Amino acid sequence: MRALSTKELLSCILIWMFLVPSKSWAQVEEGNRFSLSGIVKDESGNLLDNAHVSISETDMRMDTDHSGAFRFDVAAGTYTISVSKVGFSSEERQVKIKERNSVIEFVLSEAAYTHLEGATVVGKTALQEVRETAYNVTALDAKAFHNTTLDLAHLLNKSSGVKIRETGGMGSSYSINLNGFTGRHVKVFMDGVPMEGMGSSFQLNNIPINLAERIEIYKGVVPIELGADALGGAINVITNKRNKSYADISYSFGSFNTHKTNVNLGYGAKNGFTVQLNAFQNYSDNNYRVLTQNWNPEDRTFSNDSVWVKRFHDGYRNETIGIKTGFVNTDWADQLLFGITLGQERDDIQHSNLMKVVFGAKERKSNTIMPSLSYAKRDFLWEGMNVRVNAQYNRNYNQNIDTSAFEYDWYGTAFRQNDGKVGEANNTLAEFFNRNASVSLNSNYQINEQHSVAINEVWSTYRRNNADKNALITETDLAHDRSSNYKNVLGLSYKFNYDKKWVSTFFGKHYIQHVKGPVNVGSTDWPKYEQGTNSSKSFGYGLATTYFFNHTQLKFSAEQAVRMPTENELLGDQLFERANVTLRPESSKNLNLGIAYQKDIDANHAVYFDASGVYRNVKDFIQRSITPRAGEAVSMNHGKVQNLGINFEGRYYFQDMLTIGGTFTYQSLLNKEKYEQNGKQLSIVYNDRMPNQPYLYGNGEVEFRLPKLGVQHDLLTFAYNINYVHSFFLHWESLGSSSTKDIVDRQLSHDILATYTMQNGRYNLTFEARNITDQLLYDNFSLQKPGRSFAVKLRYFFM
Amino acid sequence: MNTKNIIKNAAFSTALLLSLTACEKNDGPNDDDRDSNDVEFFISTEVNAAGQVSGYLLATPDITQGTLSIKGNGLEMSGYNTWVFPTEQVGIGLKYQKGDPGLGVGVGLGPKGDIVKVGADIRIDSRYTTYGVFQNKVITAVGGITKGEDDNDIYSTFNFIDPAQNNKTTERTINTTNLTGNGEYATLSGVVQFDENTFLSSLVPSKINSDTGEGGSSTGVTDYPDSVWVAAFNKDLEVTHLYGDDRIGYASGRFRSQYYSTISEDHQGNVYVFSPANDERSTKPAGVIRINRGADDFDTDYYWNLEDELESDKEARFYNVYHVKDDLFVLDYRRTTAEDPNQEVAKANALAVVDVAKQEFRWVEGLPDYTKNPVFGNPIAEDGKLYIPVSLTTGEKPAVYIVDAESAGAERGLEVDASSITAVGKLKK
Repeated sequence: MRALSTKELLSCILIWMFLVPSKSWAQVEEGNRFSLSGIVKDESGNLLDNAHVSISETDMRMDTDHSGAFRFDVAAGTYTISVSKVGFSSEERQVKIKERNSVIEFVLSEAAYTHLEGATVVGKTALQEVRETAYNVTALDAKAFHNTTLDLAHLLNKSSGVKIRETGGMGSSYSINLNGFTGRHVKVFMDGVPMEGMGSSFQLNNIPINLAERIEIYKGVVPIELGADALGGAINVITNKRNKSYADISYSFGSFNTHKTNVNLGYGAKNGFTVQLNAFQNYSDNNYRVLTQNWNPEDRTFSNDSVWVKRFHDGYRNETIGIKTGFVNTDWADQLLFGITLGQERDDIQHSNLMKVVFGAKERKSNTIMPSLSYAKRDFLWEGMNVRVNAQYNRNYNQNIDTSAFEYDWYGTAFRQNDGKVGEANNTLAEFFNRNASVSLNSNYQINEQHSVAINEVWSTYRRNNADKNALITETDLAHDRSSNYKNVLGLSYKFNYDKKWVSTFFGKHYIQHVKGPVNVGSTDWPKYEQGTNSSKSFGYGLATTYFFNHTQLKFSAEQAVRMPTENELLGDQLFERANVTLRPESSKNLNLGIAYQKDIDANHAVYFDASGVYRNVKDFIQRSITPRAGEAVSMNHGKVQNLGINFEGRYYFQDMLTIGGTFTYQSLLNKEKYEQNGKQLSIVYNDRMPNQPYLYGNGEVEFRLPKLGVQHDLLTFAYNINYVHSFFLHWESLGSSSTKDIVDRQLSHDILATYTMQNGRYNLTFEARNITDQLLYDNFSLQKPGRSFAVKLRYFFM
Repeated sequence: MNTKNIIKNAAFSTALLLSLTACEKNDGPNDDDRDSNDVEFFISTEVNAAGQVSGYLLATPDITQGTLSIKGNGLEMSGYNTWVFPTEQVGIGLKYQKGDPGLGVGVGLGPKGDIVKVGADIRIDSRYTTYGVFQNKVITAVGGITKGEDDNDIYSTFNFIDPAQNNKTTERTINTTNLTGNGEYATLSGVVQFDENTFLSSLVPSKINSDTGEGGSSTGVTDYPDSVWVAAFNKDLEVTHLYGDDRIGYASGRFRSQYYSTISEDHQGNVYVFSPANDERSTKPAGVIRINRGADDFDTDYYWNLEDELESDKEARFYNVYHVKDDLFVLDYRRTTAEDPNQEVAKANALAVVDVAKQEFRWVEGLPDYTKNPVFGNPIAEDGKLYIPVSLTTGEKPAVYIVDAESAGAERGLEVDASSITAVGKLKK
């Protein structure tokens, strides 16, 4: 496959734009069709939007609008109409269509909660709606895992194309690998708001799963609603939106003295007033056993052989509370919520980026304050025009503490340092403040059933500076570290919906960035810093189209995506990073082709398959390389990377009792840069597999559900998971003698879960055993993850 | 679709998964095993691609010709960019890591024409800005260290790495303030074994509380830019003798945070001290003075103004001094030319052979032209020749060049298929 050139992509879009509408107008003129319309309500008479309505005899389907209404144009005849919505039991009715039809009314009753948990393929849940968009998106149903002790990051690991790489146990740092993209190339959002600046006490690896309803993973092509310069995709966490009173309280306890508590409370008044509280706590000693070379602080040498030791300085704790209050479903706002989230974190640091480099006293502290505001209204100025505004401010404080007069071996023995030396790695008490603000405006307008347009505008700013200059102790700290960044992303899209069978979206994104920071205008020996600035603009565009037929969906999407360089890459940091104001944005051509098939074969069997092929061609990679000896880094535009991969997900359902499923990802991620960074010399690793990237992985699961076990509304669930990651090299695969190469070995682990649910999900008790065969697990070279562990979770849920 | 088809599909996808997992083994091309000679050259190469720097170490009996590849070959040893040879059998590699402790590793010549790890891996918590060999140990040093609240005493931290004791490393911090008697503190440049019990190091002076900037440098302004000091230290880091002179500025090749040695001994035990005239405030030109064998002071009769030899290119500056043969030394110069946009930093791009006895200065011929900005790696000198790695940004593969000190001519030797050759050395079985 070869990459589409910009020109080709543009002409494609133009052809589509001209051809498609003319065809649709012809269609509308067809005669002998009658209107079939209706409304959907709940038992208390509230109109239900986004309920899924389909006509069994045809492939027609649609969702109810904000006033609970739907309307089809059909030929005369008798039809079976089914209506479903997540959280409600489905309704089915036969209707005879004549020339003049009255409005049909459906009343849905609330589903017993267990119906939600049993992931049967009935109705169209929000989850399926996302899956059925034209984008290459995977939607993970968080609700199905609400009884487990997973955090959001570990849920993400269950998706095809995604690999979460952790450096240790609870609270360790993690990175998301999304079809070969990682770090700055993958942007994470919560309800459409960027999570970048939210602080480490409110991140995917500590937010409990019960906060989320689902996670949407956009691979490669990102809709404009998530306004960001995401080169490799985006992840959007959708939090629970319950408009009534509820309580979801859970506590879990497990191996390594791990405690997690989560309290979710909501109150909803008749007049729309609502208060929502979310609080969580994570604690772990992380004192699991690891196999490592020991260090002898007296000789300053590492042992040749590895020994089993218990981690002794890796405790982690985090407490976060968030409150939202405001009004929902009033005349003037569908949602107006003010919120504030407060979080704090303390993390003992057990080792450096190599496990053998052990620490015994280093730690890190941080806290976060995040006020937020969100407003949403349908039919804002006129009918069909929806508006959503989000504003968020984050203030994060971080402190690194390394002031110990002792150093430690892996057995935890303390040794007083020589000559009164202080600090195990880098004597510091450095404090930093990060401040972020972002405002986003999203509006879409449904012109008619076929045409709609949307605009999305995100404005964000970032500022970093030292909190306390007196706390700077060593010369390697930055005395005037202050930089800021302002970014504006504008997105426009047009959606064409042909008979609900063929849906296409065309979009363009415009980026403006302005960065400020210190630039060395003096010499190396006597540096002199002045405030430097840099501005840049960039443009990206793409399309996504999908076609439905016979329980099958075909998807194609393409994007010319860009990522703007960061202020650090552009301006350096005075000490370790050299400025390079000539950096261009990175760009990638992303193509996706997918097919999904979903069918209830009969009353007992249902299947779901989703396979997609991805193609990525990245150029002008911003690479950071270190100059030898000086230890200084500089970022440069260099490098091309190509990825051809497949993602597969499949599930089989037998009644409510059994689910078997799995995901599988393979990616051929190749270095396509022909020349050396330093000029014209042919690169020895041209066409070599990209190093330090998992490229073949998958997981499988089997779940048994035994309902009505003894008691009418009880449910017993057993689940088994298998996780596999193929081995990969830390450095270039083709170079060096194979016996001397650093490798991350093949990982294969098994988990077992059992959940007993009482009274339709009100009381839940879960037992988990993870990594039951006690394998040595690594996501990163030398950084061992926990071995076999057990946990128990108690959960009370009421709505 | 019926159940049968589902099973079929499931079976197919399982088979696909299995078939892909089956291609698991990944042995590159076979390592070409051969029996090692007693003594071979050590070659450190680097590949810099896709934002990752990886390193491979090779052994070869002949460095004057041929080609070596690191495809499926070489000891993977990434990030170790300083190689020092404390004994004939051992090379010590050092890796500096931002914010984290540095690491060290020992290597030797293996039986199969390969480089193998020798001795324990080590951890070096302090940075190093200069290094050398003394009494078969590697010594690294960094200056500008303060302790607690006391700003008036500036210290230097040394590490002694001893391959005879499984790479046991000893850290020592000593006060290097007022070594010169004028109240200023010193940053050390170079570790050069002088006699059996002492090593020499040049002192780079700075005023106490001077602004050292933030470029990783530990020196600031000095009130004595027109003076040079060389100290002799014993193994306990006591100064046994101090040599001072006012004819040249301090003797150190300053390259970013590093202080390269510009002190070197000739074949008769006379020590030549070179000053590249790095300090902008110095009025003294780049030059050479000498400590005669056994003397307690600089030879007042010997002085050579190197700047005068540069003719039109007065801005050219050298960083390192290598003794090659008799009175012949090689200096690596940065000659004035347009900077290469593909290079991160302007580095040395030319070599000169200087005859300190005849006071004769010759640019080395036969190297890639300095206007192409060749990059030099760490060389070794042997039999009147300097073997120096040269990497280019103009399309040629990196190669070892052999500089003949007598003729000041260079020839292209062994070529390696890598981004760069960072160092050559010699190892004995």
